[in-house]
Amino acid sequence: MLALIQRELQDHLVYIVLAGLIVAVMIAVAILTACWGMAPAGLGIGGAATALLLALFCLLGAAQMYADRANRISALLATLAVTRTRILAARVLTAVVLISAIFVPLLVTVVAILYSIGTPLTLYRGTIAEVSVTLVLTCLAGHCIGLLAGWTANRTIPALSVLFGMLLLMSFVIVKGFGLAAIGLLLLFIVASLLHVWHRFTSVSF
Amino acid sequence: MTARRRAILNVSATGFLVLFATLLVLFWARWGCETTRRGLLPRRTWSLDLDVSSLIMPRTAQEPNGVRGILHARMDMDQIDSEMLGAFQYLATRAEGAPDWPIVVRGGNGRDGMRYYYDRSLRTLVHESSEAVHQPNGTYATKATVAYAGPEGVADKPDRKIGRFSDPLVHFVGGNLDRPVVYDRGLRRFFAVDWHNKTVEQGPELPAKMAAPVDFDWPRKQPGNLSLYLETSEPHYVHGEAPDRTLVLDEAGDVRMLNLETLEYGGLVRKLDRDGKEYSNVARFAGRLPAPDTLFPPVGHVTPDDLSAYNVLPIFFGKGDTYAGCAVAVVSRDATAMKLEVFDANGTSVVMQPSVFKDPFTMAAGVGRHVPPSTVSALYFEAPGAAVLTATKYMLECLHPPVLLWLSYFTTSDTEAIAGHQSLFMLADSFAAMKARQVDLPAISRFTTSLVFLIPGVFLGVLLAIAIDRDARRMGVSRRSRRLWAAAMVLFGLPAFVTYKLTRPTTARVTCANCGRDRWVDWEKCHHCGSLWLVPELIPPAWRVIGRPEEQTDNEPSPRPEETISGKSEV
Repeated sequence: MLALIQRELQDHLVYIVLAGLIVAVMIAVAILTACWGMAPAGLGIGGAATALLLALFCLLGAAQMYADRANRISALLATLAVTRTRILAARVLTAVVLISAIFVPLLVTVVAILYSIGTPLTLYRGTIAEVSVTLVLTCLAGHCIGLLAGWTANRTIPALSVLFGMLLLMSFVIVKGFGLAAIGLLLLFIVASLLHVWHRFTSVSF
Repeated sequence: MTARRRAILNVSATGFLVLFATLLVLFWARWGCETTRRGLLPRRTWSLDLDVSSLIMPRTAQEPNGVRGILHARMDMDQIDSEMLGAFQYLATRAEGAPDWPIVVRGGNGRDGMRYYYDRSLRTLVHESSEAVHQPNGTYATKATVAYAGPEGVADKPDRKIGRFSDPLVHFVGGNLDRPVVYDRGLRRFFAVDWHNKTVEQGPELPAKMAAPVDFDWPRKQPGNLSLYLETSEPHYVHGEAPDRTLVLDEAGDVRMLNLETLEYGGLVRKLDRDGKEYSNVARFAGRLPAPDTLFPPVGHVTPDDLSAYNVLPIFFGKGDTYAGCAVAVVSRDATAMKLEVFDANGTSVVMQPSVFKDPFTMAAGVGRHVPPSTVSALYFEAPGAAVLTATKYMLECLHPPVLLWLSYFTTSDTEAIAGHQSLFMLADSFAAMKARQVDLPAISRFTTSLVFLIPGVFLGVLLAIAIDRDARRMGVSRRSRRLWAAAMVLFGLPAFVTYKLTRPTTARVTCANCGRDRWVDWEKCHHCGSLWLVPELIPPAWRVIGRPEEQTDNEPSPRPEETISGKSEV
């Protein structure tokens, strides 16, 4: 499994670098916002960066499945001692690892900023947890949409599906906010998406 | 895992994804419809102004140069739709200074300042401050002090002796930072914390039958979208502040006066008997939330949960010792109507103004009705384009899964107004749900009239079920599965239809050797005639009926007479 994850990370290094850049920008904006007190501008840039991250994870999922379909990677790997379920699990775990690697530094930065400006952390603990979990699950749901959309030989369908799915997820967060209801629905969405992808991915005949 | 279980998992997962996407698309379509609808009326419609000069200074109100007072209530129609969406609402309710947020007050910068806040883990109020202490060597050092306040007292450490709050609502009434007033929803009491003397005063426990307070000091919901202020020439007007009294809004929608010295209700007496005549000291209300116009009036008793926004403004004069009354502005659940009502010092309604649509063309021509229609009526039917938007909203609701629409009908009274705006599954502002809130009708009659809004969705589901059944029969879906799909169509409507189309069997079929119709290649038996793949070969009979040889014609070929088999069997 580790070898599979490592290979996935190597194959999609571009996405990792881009995600790192976006998070670096988000951290810089958070620090500058705290220093200069430009909360509205900071929130705007933070929101745009989050949308970019979501798009990136959608594209990552689509790229993973499209490359597999085009190059018949899983067909080759399935001849070895690897099942399709494990290949899919490796792809999902790759996304989980990447999302964790992105959000942990961001979270640490936000907590450090709040502490430094004298905000009682006990007040914002619940809010930070709810917003973080919602954003992490949104990115993971975006990756699942990418996995759903990418399993096709056509290039147009994944692009349109990723765009539609991304809009759907962003609008969902806007409608439901960051509370427990949103977290519960996102979890259900992720489970349903993964089941659907698993069914399609393990039912192929070639 | 068996193929059957895989199929069930696939259908369930696809069904949820389709339901999710469909509900989101329908939500934005309805949202666009509502936003466009509110834009049909001119901006000034959402601004109510009331002359309350008589309330402020009754003796001089009639004089030309007397003291004037105009109340202004404004709804921000450009923002109210977006502000009620979950993400914006979440951020707005968790910002410092939000009505129901554990308060933080800062003085100074960074960690050296003074802070008041509610510690959720300790469940105590915390007061952190730093002061400069003179040192023997002539310098000053900063000394940080922390005090904790619970229901039982104030201490320097979060001791158990001071007790724990369970769900407090904290306000600094009149801007008095040294004496925060707390209402604890769990303990049902008011508290006043005196940081200076390190004491906590407890009010009496509210009776269990009495409605619990929702907010106090300056009760507001969505303050950014509904502003209410008094413009007056009275020089001693104090904006909603008094040192010894404050207004409390309870969950029944009543506004009461709280005495800050004794921490119990009082200070106002409204004397009413059964006929509404004043006679004795029975009730102590300063006012109540007025019921705004709705599509299916009346809604009866209005509670804070039934309104998208409200603003209760107390009016004090002098140094806060003269209470003149209070003004209450509200916005209806679907944000199609406003109402402004003013109560005097005795809690009696003085004047009230609902939002109405003043058509500029009709007004300019000086024709038409004398009484302008309410904004609800205008937004649903009378304004140009309103009827089209109403029809669109109706059709969008018909596309909603019928089971959720029916559930919305039965659960609408328990749904908070803003939560209803954010709901994907339950439609708290659907026509059916609005009808369910028409409490003046008997339940049976309310339900039967609501069927106009509930039945079309079911009818659509039945039509889809018939269409799907025909297709499923052709595809060889078993009877049990067909019944399940039909039930899903009736319950979920459009999402179930899309799910079927996405997950329907698409296996290639071949012609059955027995019945000649299309049959599945992966089924052992033909789903039409039940024959196996290996159809027994038809063996020709060994006998023949020999009669008179048929007459040969030139046009039809026939075996030659010498080749005709006759007599014995060849087998």
